[in-house]
Amino acid sequence: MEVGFPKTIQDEATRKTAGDACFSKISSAELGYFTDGYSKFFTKNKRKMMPLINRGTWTRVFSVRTLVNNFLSKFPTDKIQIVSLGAGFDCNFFYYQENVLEFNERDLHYFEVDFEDITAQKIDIIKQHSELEELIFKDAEPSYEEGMIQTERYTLLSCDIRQVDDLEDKLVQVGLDKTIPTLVLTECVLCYMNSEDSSQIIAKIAEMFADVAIVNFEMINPNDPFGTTMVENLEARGCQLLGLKDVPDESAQVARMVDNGFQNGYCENMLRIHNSKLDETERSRIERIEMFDEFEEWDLLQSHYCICVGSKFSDSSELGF
Amino acid sequence: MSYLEDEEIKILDGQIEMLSECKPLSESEVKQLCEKGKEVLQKEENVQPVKAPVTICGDVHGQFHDLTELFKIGGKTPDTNYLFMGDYVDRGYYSVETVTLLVALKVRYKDRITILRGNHESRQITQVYGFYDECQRKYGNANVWKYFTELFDMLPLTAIVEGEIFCLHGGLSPSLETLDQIRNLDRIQEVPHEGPMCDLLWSDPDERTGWGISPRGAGYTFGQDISEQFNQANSLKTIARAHQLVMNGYNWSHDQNVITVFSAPNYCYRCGNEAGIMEVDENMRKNFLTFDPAPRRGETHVTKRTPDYFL
Repeated sequence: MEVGFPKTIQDEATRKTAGDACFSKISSAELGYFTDGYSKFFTKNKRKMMPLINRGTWTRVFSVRTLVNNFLSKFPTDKIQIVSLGAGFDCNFFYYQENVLEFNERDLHYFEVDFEDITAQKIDIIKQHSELEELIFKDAEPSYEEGMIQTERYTLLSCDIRQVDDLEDKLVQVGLDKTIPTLVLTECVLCYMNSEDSSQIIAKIAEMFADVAIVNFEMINPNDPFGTTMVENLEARGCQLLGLKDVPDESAQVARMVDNGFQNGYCENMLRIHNSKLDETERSRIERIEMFDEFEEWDLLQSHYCICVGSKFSDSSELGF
Repeated sequence: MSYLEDEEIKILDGQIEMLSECKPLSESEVKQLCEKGKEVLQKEENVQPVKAPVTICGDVHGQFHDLTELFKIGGKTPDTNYLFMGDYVDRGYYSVETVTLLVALKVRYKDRITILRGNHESRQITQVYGFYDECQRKYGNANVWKYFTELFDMLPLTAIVEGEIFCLHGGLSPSLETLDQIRNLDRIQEVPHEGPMCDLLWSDPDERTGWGISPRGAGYTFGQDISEQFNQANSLKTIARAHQLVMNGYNWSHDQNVITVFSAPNYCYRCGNEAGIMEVDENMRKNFLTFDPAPRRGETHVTKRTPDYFL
């Protein structure tokens, strides 16, 4: 039974979050927290974010990049795939392609999937910026198929990822290889759908590949005062955190991975990841960028986000920090 | 009370009435008010003596409607005496209205309300955390910000209630063992990056004993041994301070040597915390009142803007 807002309204609000993610990335990238020269193309507006949001955005981006890096070095010679589900306006592909030699020189394929209108907007913006076209098409003449981009290294396509069979068909059609090591990214995606849908997606990924890991970044702890306020605030803008009822904390995150076919699950909140998992030199560099006086709030906000990594590799190893 | 002319009182009462409806004053009115405010404040001491009964409050941070709620719960000035421990501006959407109202009340009832300096009452930090931008937005220039930050330089650093409760924004300093040392500080300046004056506005109590390096990059952390020693050396019973968000609005620490009071409910419209105030009666008995955010009637344009999350 459908609870809460009609699905279309919830989906519309979810689409809008792509723009919000952009705001934060632009703000922190401009201050030098991390390199992202391209998010700025994906929104007309700009807003100065609080140091707390800039620092937290760095934790998110740097954590995901660290895990992607670790995945690259875990399979130093194989051809590999990265699949970003609900990619929104994420610009990490452009970043890796331009700045990360281990990525640029690797035999790999990067897939991005999102709702049809988000994908269409992303394509429009790529068309308007030759810098982006160059990173995607290199020396070749840019070519666009109906509602998608496909090159040897990069595919952008549209799909409602909750339709898991459709998702599989579409990915296979564009050349997804189920036999090679694959990393799946879901950043603030699963939380917006109910847990039946997210479990199905995770189970489908586990079933499709022999060597796969999934990196999931999203909210947790909806039931304490900060969490209740977070749920209310996002609902006020039409965006329900449908998934948090059944997956409210770190152990439920891990259980969802394991129950749906992953061998190992690892989950930590972003406060712990920030304090103990990330490169210390880099952390002390970004801690000097802005005056910071939001410690209690920082602890609260960061402990309401987590990264959960599910691993299913044929050698039983795990992907970790 | 005779320092105000009847005409001034009339004007001030009108301004307070307007401000109570969250309507800002004009630039020239703010200028005049700050001139008068500076006159009043610079006569106060670094350790301003305060009489009981008094209601002690922590951070407000521009959450004007919650300040209105605070006055509803704690009583109106001048019927209730108040001691605010700083951080009137930044973060919330109504720093201008909040700080203007508090300064107007200070000028109108100077012996009924004490306003101390918080670490946000500074030029540097208001440029990062919102007050500067809000002044620019509401007045089209930075003059009002300039008037207020000049006034902030005059704010007393600490207060002492009946010789027993030592009140300040942040906490103790390794360079200050006695109240007399605090009395000797030259406070009329921008909050320095380090040193005793900075520490009073930035330090935090900590579970570890002794002095520690603060993660805030200013001030220190101090342990229970330090608080006990300070209270004993200065014949104090309690250190009352603000500065840190506490989910229940108030929080005892250091074996009842330190009380933290935080008066901004649902801080930044995001934290879900209760706010607290501490009433001290004429017999120096403490009573805590807590409250939730004010219902945001007639504030629809604000609720539309959700505080930021990672999405």
